[in-house]
Amino acid sequence: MTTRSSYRTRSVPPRALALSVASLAVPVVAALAFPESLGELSVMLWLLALVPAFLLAYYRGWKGVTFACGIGMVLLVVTNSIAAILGRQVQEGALFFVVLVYIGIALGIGWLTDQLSATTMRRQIDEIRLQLVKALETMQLGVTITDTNRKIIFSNPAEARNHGYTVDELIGKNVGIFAPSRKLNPLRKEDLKKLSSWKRETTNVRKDGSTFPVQLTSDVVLSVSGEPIGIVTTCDDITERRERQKQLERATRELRKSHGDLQAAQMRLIEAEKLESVGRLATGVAHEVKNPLMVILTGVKILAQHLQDESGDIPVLLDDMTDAVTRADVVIRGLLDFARPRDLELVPEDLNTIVEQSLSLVKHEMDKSHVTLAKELAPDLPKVNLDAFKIQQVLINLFTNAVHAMPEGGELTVRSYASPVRQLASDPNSVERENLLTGESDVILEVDDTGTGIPEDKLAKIFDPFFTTKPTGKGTGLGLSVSWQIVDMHGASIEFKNRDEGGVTVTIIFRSDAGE
Amino acid sequence: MEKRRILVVDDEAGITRTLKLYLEGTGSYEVRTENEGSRALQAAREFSPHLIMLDLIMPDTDGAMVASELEGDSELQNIPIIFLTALVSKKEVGAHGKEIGGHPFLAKPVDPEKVVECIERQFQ
Repeated sequence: MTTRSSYRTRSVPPRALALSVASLAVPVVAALAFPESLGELSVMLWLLALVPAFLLAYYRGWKGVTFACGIGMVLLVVTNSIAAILGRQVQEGALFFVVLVYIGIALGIGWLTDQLSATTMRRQIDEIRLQLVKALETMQLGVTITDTNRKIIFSNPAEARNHGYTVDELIGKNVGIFAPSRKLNPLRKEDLKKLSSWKRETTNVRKDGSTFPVQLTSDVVLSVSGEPIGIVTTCDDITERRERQKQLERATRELRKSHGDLQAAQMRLIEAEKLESVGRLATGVAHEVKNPLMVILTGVKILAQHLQDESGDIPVLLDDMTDAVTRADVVIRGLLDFARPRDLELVPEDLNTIVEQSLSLVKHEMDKSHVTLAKELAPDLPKVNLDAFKIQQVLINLFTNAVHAMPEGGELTVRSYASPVRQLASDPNSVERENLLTGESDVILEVDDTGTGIPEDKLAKIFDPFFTTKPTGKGTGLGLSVSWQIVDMHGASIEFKNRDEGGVTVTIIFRSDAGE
Repeated sequence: MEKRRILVVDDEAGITRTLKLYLEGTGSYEVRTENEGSRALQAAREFSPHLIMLDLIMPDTDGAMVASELEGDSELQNIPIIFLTALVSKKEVGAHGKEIGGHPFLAKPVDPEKVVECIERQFQ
C-alpha cells in the first residue's frame, strides 16, 4: 500500500479553477461592453467577483475567507432585492456602502482566522512530527527512509546501531551499504508507482563486514500529488529468531528420535512380556509332559526286553518310539531353559575365548557341510561382564543356524571389535555421542554367513518362540528365542540383517566399561 | 543272591508301575510302589528298602519333605535316596552339580537303564 500524507489540504480541481477564471472575466467583459450601465451592473459585478474568491478560498481550505465570501454574496443579493422592492438603486444608498464595508470587514476577519488556524495547524504538525521522530528513534526496529535514488534521508538509531554506524554516518549514503553488494541501483519512478509494500528475508552487512539475517519490509511514500518521493524500510534483525527456529528444529528432531526409541523400547517390552509368559507356561507344561514321557520311555524299554528275540519291524518301531520321546524331551528342555529364573553368573570374560570354544564345538558340523571359517577377531578386546556358559549357548546356536543356512557349503565369518561409541555409524550427529565418549565402549561381535538370507517378512518373527523354518523335528523354534533372552539378560542387543551380497549378518553389541 | 528292595514313590501311577515292571524284570530287585508322599514313611518302615526313589514334586507331601522325614528317623536315615524330577533348573540342582540335598537326582524322562546304573552306583 502506498502512503499518502493525511494532513494535506484539498487541491483545487482544474474545472473549479477554470470556472473561477471565467466568472472573473464576466464582470470585466460586462464593464467593457456596457460602460454606460456600469452603475446598474455594479451589484452583479461585485457578486460575480465574489464567486471565484469563494471557490478559491473553499478549495484552498481557507475557511474564514470562504465564509466571508459566502456572507458577502448573500448580503449583496438580499440588499439588492430590498432595494428593488423599494424601487431604488442599491449603489445609490448608504445601505450599499454599509454592505461593502461589512464585506470588507468579514473578509479581513476571515483572512485573520485563516492565518491563526494555519499557525495552529503548523504547530500541531510540528508536534506530531516530533512525536513521530521520537517514536522512530526509540523503537528497536531499524527504520530507514530513502529518496527515490535510494539515498538515506532518515535512519533511526536502532538501524544505525544494528549495522555498526552512527546515524550521521548514514545520512546521504546509498542504502546499498547494508547490502552484501554494497550498492543498490535507483528505482525508476514508474516502477515505484506500481510497487506496493514488499517483504523479504535477506542478509545485511555491518560496517565491520560481518553479516546477519534480516527481514525487510519496504513501502513507497507518495507526495500530495501522488508522486513517489521516498521509500520507508523497516529492518528486523532475525538472528535470534533463526537461532530459535534452529533450536526448535533440533528439538523436533530429538523428539522424533526419542519417540522412535520409545516405540522400539515398547516393542522390546512387549517382546519380553511375550517371552516371559511363554516361560511361565513352559514350567507348567514341562512338568505335565515329562511324567507321561517317562511312562512311555520305561514302557518302551520293558516292551523291548519282552520282544528281544523279535525280528522285523517291531524293534525298529520301538527305537522310533524312544527317539520320539527324546525329541519331545528336547523341546521341553528348551522351554525350561526359557523359563529359568534370570540369574546370570557375570564374570569379566574375553569374548574371543568364548568364540573359539564355541567354534570348536561346531567344527564337526561345519566340516560336514563344507563350510569354511574366516576369523577376524580383534586382539586387544576389552573384557566384558558375561556368563560364559550362556553366551556359549547363544554362539553355538548362531553358528549352527549359519551352517544350516549353507547346506551347499559357504563361508562363515566371525568378527569381533571394540567401538568407543554406540550407533556411530547410523547417526554421527546423535546427541548421545558426547555422553558416550566417556570411557564406555562397545564390544561388537558379527557373524556373517553366505547362505540364503532370511525373507524380509520373516525377519520380525525370528525371535518368536516356536518360529522355525527348519523341517519338523530338525529345530524346536526356541533357539533364537532363548538366545534373545540370554543376550537381553546381559543388557546387550542382537540384530539380524540380510547382507546385500547374500546371507545374513548377526550383530551382538555388548557394553564394556573401560573404567573397570 | 538276595534281591535289593527298592521303594518307588511317585504321584504318577504310570511311572511307579512301569518302573516296578522294569526293575523287577531285571531280576535283581524287589519293588514296592507308593503314589502319595505322605505314605512314604510308613511304607519305608514296613518294607525296609535298600534304596528309595522319590519324586520331587508331588501334590501332598513333596519329595524333599519325605527326604527330611527319613533323615530324621534313626532307623531309616541311612537308606540311600535317588530323586526323580520333571523340572530341571539351577535352583533345584543346587550349587554342587547334579545333587539335591546331597542325594543324586534323575531328570524325567530317564532311560530305565540309567536308573539301574544310578541305583547300582549307590550300592558300591
